[in-house]
Amino acid sequence: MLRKPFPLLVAIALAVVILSVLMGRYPVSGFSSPSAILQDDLARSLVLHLRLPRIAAAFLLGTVLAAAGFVFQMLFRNPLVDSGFLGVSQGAAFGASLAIVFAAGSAWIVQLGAAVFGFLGLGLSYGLARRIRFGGSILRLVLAGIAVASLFSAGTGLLKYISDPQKQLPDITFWMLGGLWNITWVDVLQILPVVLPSLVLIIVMRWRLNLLALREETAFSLGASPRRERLVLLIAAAAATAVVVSKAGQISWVGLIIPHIARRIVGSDAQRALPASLLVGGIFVLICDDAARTLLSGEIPLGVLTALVGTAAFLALLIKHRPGVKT
Amino acid sequence: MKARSPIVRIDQMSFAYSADGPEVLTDFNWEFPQGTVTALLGPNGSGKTTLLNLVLGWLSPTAGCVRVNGRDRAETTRRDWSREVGLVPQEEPPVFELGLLEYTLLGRAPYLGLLERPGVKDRKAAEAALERTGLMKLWSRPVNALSGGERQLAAIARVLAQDPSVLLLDEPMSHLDLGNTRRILHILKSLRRDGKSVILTTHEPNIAAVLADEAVLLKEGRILAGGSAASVLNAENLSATYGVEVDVRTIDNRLFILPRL
Amino acid sequence: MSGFRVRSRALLLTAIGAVLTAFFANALPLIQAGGSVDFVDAAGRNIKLERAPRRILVIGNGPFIIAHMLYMFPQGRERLVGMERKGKTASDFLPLIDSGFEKKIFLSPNPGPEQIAGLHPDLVLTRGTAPDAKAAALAEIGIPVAFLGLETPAQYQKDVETLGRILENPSRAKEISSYFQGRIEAVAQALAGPGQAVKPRVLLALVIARGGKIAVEVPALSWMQTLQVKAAGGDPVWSEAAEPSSGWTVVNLEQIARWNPDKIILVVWHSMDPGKTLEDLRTDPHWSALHAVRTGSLHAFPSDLYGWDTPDPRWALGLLWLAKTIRPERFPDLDIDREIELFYAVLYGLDKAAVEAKIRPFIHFNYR
Repeated sequence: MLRKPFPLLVAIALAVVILSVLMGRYPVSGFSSPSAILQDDLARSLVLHLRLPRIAAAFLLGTVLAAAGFVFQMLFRNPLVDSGFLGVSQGAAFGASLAIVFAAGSAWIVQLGAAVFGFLGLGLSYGLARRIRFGGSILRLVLAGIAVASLFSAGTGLLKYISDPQKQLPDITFWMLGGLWNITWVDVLQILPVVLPSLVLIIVMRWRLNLLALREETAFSLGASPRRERLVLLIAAAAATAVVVSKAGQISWVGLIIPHIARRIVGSDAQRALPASLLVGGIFVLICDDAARTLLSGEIPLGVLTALVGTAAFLALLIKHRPGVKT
Repeated sequence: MKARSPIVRIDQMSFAYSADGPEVLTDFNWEFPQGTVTALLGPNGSGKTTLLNLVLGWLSPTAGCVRVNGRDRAETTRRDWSREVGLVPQEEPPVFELGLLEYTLLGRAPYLGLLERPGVKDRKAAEAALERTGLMKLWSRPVNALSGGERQLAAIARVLAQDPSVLLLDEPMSHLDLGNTRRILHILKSLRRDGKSVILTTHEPNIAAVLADEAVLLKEGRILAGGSAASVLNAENLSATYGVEVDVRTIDNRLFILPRL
Repeated sequence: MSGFRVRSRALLLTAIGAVLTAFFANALPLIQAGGSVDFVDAAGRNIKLERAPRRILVIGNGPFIIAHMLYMFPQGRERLVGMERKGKTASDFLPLIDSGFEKKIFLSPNPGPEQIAGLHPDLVLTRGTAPDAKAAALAEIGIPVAFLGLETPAQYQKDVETLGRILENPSRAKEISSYFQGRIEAVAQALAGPGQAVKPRVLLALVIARGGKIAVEVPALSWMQTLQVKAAGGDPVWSEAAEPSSGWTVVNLEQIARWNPDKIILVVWHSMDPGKTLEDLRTDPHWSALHAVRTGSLHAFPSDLYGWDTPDPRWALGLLWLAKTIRPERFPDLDIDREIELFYAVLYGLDKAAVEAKIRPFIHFNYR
């Protein structure tokens, strides 16, 4: 654990953001100097209207996915849970596929479908959990979440089958690979009203996460309403996730791996580990997206990069360190 | 001994897990006086843990009520109740490593709003609790890395930080070696001086004998015998409770209870 | 009596002779038509059929392309019995020139060997250059499969010849081949003329809504679109970004700005409005700053019922249009309208009036 990790993390975040602004394919592929950008009208315009919102979106994406992953891991007391848990991720994929197959795939319908169905995944899991008659409330949620996720996956598979193989099927596959090449300031403004309050809520309740990560009876004995508080946090995490996923497509591994890295850096206390997750998540996805748009002339799908780098990081963590988690 | 005002009152409480299931507790009436340690004894399935959960409020009675300091559980918010009643459960350590001090600080939750975090006052309370349980030097150690006995003491420290009027302990001495058992016995006895009430369940009548002021013997959800430990813990009552012949001896003013072989 | 006998015997012999002659006269074509067919398909396999196929089935990727090729032959029209239907229609074009097209058998996407066998084809045609599992499965049940490339101009040449053999009409195949070769050579000659100028830097890209987002994608290096640009005298700027042999690659606007091509030709996905798309781009603050847009060199690739940029036979029209657009100075006399008429006349026997009535309404062309 580092002595004073937060100033370092913030500094790294700022550095990465600044470098990202200077990185791209125009006017030079790779890094341009600030003067080169300022002097070229087109470069200035591109940076202002395309590069900056994309950087903002990438950072927010990483922040939200890491926060959601952290919250899910604490609430379900399971270190192997991703931000798309409880059917949020599969629901978003289903909603997007539905829009692609039946609504001619117009942009806003696809995004709306992804956001709505992603969030619906949580709702359905909750509704289903209430009907399960055995097990503690966490087990019920987990079981319901698995069922709902499978249901949506099957639905997506069915949609793929009935889709037009020339256009719709590749579209669905494309959406699932994820990418931010289309982001403008409008997209960023559209996600902020959901993302900001959710993040703020999660950050403010971060001490409570420690409490809710205890056995339910114990949390109860300490005056918590575990079910209600859990619901509030889940809604915030799922809503924010659904909304960013609707813009970016399916991005996996971030919610799973970043909280572990953050705990490695600052310890497992949620008061520190959650803010660290936010920063590390933003940095991680921003770096991945920089690579996606700069490394080659063509765009590399963002989901592929996060999966590759995320898996490598995960393996490194497993091999090198005690995971900081009860084994 | 002057009569102390009851801090926990259970009035005609019954409980069953499901509507058509068997009653686990039937028509339970008892008063736990303030500043005493009461041991709940009985065989498995006699309802000891259920009773604790009912006092905690984790379970709701099907009939009757439980009061602490005059307040009815059914009419009190969870938060307020958690300032009155605290639990030292048979607990597993947290899934994610938490430092001992942070773990103890969780006991301050009843005094913090939904969006609040512990402050200076809470920290001091937690540190005092760690001092009292002798764990202060381990404050930065992860709870997962503590020994079984230290973890049990940590749970007690958390409840001390919580500072409720009533402490509920579920089998606090199981899995502990003699050294830790002694330490916990001392702490529990010292709590009486602070005016706190302790209700604990135990399998081991000797613990009750050495620690408890009062004892309640439970059999099949009803009170077989209850009152001062000295009067209740005799061979006849214990044999009836456990269904096993029991020998009770007094040596140097201390009771020893053993099953007759 | 003897006179009659002599006369009737002669009559009988004559009658027998007449019958035999008639028999052989009629039988000869049958015997000829039963001749074996022998060729090497696009996957390099030796195909030997005992007799020319009468029931041809088309499956696989872009089956309409093979169908469009078959219809260039009169026998192809008759002997095509059915095809896989990938989209809503098996072909938008063929019903216009054959009222009996809709009576053919259409299979739903991805038919299994049993479904195919049920139609009793004696030849199955499919696009590709390597044998696949389906061909192997059909071979197991004795149904011959032949591959046609139909991806590049060079493959077209071979494939037309193959079709000529399959349909027993090598002379027609020669006509078709010389049409395509003729157009290619005309373009090449005009480009090779004196004063070979520097090749303009061309970006040809697909504009498509992908998963709800607008994407600009460049074609693979070996695809028809890239080959057309090269043959038309352009320098494809996207070579560094492209896949080598298959797939579209997304490029972002920064990269397009970096390439800063002399000419931008956009293939606008058919469900989008090309006119509106171009207008939107011309008024977009970033696109309008590009050199090609400022100099009026932003074009939409034309199409009629099918795109002219695809491996459909209309690629010939696409090549001609590209040549005129990329190197206008070299093709002052190239009249696209006349080329359209020529294409449909030579390949499908449509006269000018038919082209006006049936094809002209579908031409997406000439946005400025």
